[in-house]
Amino acid sequence: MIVADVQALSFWPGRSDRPALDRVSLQIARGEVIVVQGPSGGGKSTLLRALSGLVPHFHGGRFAGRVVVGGYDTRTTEAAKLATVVGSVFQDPEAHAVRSTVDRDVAFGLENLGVAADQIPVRVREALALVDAAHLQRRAIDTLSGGERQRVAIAGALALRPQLLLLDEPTSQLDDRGVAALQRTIRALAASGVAVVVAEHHADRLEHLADRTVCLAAGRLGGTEAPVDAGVPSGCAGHELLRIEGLEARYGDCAVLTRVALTLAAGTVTALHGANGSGKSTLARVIAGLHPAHLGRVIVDGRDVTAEPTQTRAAAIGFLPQDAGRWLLRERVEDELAFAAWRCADAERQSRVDAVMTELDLTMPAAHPLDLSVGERERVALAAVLVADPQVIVLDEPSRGMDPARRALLGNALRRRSQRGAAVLVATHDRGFADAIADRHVEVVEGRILEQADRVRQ
Amino acid sequence: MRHAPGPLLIFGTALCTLAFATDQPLILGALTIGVIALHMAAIHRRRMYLVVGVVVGVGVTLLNPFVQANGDLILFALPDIPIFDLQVTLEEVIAGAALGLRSFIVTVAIGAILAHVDPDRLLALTSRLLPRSALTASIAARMLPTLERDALALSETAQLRGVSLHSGRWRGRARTAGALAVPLVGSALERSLDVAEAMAARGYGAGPRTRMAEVPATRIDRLVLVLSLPLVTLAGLAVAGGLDPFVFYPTLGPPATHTTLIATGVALTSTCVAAAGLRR
Repeated sequence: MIVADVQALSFWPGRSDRPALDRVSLQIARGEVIVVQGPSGGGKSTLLRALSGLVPHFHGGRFAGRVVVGGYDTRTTEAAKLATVVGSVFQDPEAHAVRSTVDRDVAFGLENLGVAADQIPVRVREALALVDAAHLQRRAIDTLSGGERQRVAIAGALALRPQLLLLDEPTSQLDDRGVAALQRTIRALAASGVAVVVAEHHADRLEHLADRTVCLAAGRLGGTEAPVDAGVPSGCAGHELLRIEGLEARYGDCAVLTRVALTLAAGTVTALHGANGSGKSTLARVIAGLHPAHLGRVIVDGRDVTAEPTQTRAAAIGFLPQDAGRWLLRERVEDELAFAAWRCADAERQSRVDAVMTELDLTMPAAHPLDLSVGERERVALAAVLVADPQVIVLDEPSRGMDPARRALLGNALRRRSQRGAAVLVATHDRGFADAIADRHVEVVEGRILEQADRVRQ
Repeated sequence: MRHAPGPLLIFGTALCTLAFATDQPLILGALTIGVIALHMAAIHRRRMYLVVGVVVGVGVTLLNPFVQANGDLILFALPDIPIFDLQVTLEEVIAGAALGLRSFIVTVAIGAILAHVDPDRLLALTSRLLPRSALTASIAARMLPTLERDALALSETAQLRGVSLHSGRWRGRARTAGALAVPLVGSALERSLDVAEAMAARGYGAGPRTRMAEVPATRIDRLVLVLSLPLVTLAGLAVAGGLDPFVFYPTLGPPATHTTLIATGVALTSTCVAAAGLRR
């Protein structure tokens, strides 16, 4: 039985002449799991939005072809009505939380669909348990880590018990436990007849669950991913650039990091692992000066910067927070990068901007950041960190939303910085990416740093 | 703890209406103390509203003497310039201060009420008033809180680029902060759109809604509702002209009457008792 039928679907967003989807045809059967792969900006998210009816109802543009989901023609049925058959999880769960606490946020869709009030708490608990997030039920959304928010977003879609579940990069911030829970859930849903469409850059995580894998590139089905660039060798370990001693960080009365000690040497890339909510982001924010150190010291190249404000550390420490693509300050990509390199002389600044744009495959110097895809914005934010050429580079989930080719570009860019003597710290759940770039792996466990076996890249 | 939106919205609306409808400096002074107490009582204080309130209030106060040409007691006079009145009178200064206080009260009151209101229940209330439009509901209920969070994130980004927002001369700081205004509005609108999209995808406007059981009205909710009554009465009287108006021009009006003193006491008591209750 067919749950969704896409026939010759084309979509041109806004007044664009270039279609985001170009004559896409796809049939999705009951209980089928389809993984959609393809480069960033290839049309994966747009296809998912077309299946949920948000394209064309919420996003303006020209629409051609036909999409029928659960018997509803998406052109003549409002997206809200389609929510009775389609559950969606967006690429950017931080931005899509509707309410301020976990249980209320998961309950939101159930309330909209008129589920009986006494059934709502039961369904909320069930959905949270499916993604291994029952312990988060009473938490405020603002206090969750990126991965925890992703679990809550998935629970919000599962609570609706849809016929078709659409997941856009659902594992981008999940730890191994979260990925395992999602895999179990997808298997169980498919067995119960729910069709699942997953747009995913990390093929290794969900591809083995797929009945079919399709590739969407330049809006067309059947395209291919760009070849992955060969790796650049990493640098040689040099003198100590960053030292963290006895660090303790708190949120209110709750200690998130306790007696953390870590050193980073010039010319090395260190991967920082840890479960969702373990304190990786907090550690990165403390290093950058965005979160206060309750106890302990942060020393950069022999200088104690613990008491220095962020802007003073910025010359030495480049930090990319999670979701940094949302916080761009200028109206053109090129201006954003030039602004980030304001310490350089004019001529050098322009050459640095050009170089980093080439390095990260940014081909839209005049574009407004709000016109870019999530992945493109993340690359602009990353370029803004790299263009300043800091001694210490701290990145929080930098490969999120990136296709394999772009991840390889990022890896090469970081290794080039390490060759030039920078110390790089990357907090990530992307094990494949970490293995490909890191010389050393450390893990945050219950607020402390544990050294994993050193791994020298071949 | 955040509180039910209904009583707080009634309280805030009455307070702002009274501030708009009365000219009495004493009552405006009482309301100023009251809104500052309400602001201080919030766990998550919205400092941005206090700053905007001060900037707008002081701006209006300073500007008024130069756009008015009234009053008998001349404080000083500057050389003539077309359009502007550079003869500053005591009456113009007092009238400007009253206008400035009014702007300050309304701005800080909005921030304080939003800081005390449970945002989820506010969205639920908005949903009942706007059951179809996810975008309108999202903007109505989330735009201001989103603006505040985004302002923090953008200022962090600026600091990460090495830009100091808190040092240097005030003119330089104002210019730096002003440059963040455009991306701030853009990102806040975009975030509201994101939330509206998520609301639509999760069935907002699909049909009749149900509600997960909420906590019943608390003693604080009831207290705020009770304290709204005198403010609503005062606001109604002020709108209907039942409170003694204050005359600024050509000379400042007579000292406060008994009615004004009673109204001032009621306004001060209502707002400060509400603040004390909300602080618990």
